Amino acid sequence: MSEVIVITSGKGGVGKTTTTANIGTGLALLGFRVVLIDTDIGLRNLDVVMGLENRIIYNLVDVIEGNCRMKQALIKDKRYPNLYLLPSAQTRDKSSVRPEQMIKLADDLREDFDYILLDCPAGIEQGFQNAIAGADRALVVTTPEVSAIRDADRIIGLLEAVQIQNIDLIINRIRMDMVRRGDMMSVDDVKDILAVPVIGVVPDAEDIVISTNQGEPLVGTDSMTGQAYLNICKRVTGEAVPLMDLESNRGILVRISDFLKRA
Amino acid sequence: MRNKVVIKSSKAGMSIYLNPECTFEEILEELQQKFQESARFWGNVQMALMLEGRQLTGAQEFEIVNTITANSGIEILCLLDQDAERMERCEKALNQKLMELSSRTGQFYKGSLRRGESLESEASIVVIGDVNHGARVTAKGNIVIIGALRGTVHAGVSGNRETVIAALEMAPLQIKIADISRQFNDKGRRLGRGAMTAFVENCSICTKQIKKSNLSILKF
Repeated sequence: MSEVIVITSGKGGVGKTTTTANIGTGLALLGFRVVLIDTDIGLRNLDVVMGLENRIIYNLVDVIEGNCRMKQALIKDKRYPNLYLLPSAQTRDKSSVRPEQMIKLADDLREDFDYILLDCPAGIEQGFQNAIAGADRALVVTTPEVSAIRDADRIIGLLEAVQIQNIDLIINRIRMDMVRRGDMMSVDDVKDILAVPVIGVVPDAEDIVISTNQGEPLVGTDSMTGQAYLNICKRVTGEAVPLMDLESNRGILVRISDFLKRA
Repeated sequence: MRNKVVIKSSKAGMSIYLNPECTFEEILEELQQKFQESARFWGNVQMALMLEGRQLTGAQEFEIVNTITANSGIEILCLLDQDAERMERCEKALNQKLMELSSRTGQFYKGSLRRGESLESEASIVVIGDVNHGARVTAKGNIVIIGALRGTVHAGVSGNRETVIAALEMAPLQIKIADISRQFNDKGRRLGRGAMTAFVENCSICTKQIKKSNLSILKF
C-alpha cells in the first residue's frame, strides 16, 4: 500500500522543505521506498536542502509535458537506499501544471514507491491546489507563532474541504525555555486551537540550520532534532512512539526548582 | 364615458383603478371580460394586487380576486393597501413575527469553523465545535457554540437586539448583536471561566458567565 503525503503549512518559512527532506530521508532509512516531489515550481529548494542540486537534468514539468520519461527525471540519492527526488522546474511557474496532471503523476509513482512525499509551496493558490490534488494524507507544519497557527488553521479547513481526512500536525521550532517563561505557545495550546492530532514536535536548534545549508538531512543522528524527525517517521508508518521529552537535558534539580517557582 | 376599470402595473405587481361611478356588477363584468381577453398575455404569474378608486367591502374584494383568478392564470398572492401607515404597520408586524420565529427555531452545524470559513443562518444556529480566528458566524437568531469562540459572530442580523450569543469558551475577536458591535483585542484571552453569554444591555454588549442561578439573562 503506497501513500501520497503532502507536507504543507500555508505560511512560508516554517520549515516545510526541511521537514520534507528529513522525513523522506528518515523513511528511506527505515527501509521504505521513498520519492520526494518538489511542487514549488519556480522556487525550487528541496534539491538544495537534499544536496542534490548539481544532479538535476530533467524536472517535474518535463515529465508532465512528456519531454522525458519518469525514470530520467528521478534523481537517486546515493547516500540512502531507495530514496529518490523529483525536482521542480526553475524557469516555469505554478500555472504550467494542472491538478489532474499531478494526480496522474502521483498515481504513476504508486507502483514503485511506498511513500510519495509532496513538498507544497507556501500560500493557497494554484501551487497549493496542485500539491494537494493527489494526496491521501497531509502533514501540516506550523511554528508556535500566532500567524503560522492562523494560516495552518485555514489550510486545515481547505484540506478538510477536499476530503483529505488524515491530517496530522508537526509543531516545528519550539523553544521550551520560552514556553516555560510563557512567551511562546505550548504544544497543548496549539493542539487546543487547531484540534488535529500532533504527530511530532521538533525543537528549535542550530544544527538543523547547519544541516540545511550543507544539504545533509540530520534525521537519525544523535541530536535531539534528528531524533525528533526519526520519531515522526516512525509515527507516519503507524508505529506508536511517545512524544519525546524535550527537556531531557535539564537536570532534575533545575526542574524541581522550576516546579517550585511555578507553584 | 370613462373606462370602468384601468389596469396598471405598480411596484409590487398590478394595480387596478375601479371607476367609482359604475355599479359593482358592471365592474365585475368588465374585469371578467378584460382578463379573459388578456389571459394569454399574463400567462401563469404570481403577483400582489392593489385596488384603487373606490371603497370596497371585504366580500367585494374577495369577489374581484375570484373573478381575476377564474378568468386567467394569475395567482393573487395578497392584496396591498394604499394606506401608507397601515402598510408600514403590517410590515412591522410581519418582521417582528419573522424575528421571533428566527430566534425560536434553529439549525445545527457539526464541526469546527476554521479561518476563512463562514456560516450563515436564517434562524438560530448551534455550532458543535470551535469557531476559530478568522471564521465568521452570522444568524438572524441566536448563536450557541458548543466549543470555543475565537472568531467573529453576528447574531440578530435583521435587527433583533433580543438575541444572544453563548459559548463554552468565550475568547472572541468581535461580537455583533443587531446593530451594536464590540471589539475584543486581548490577544485571544478568554473573557472568563466556563460557559459565557453575550447580550445587549443599555445599548452595549455585555458578557456574563452562565450559571444555573442566572439563566434568566438568556432572553429567548
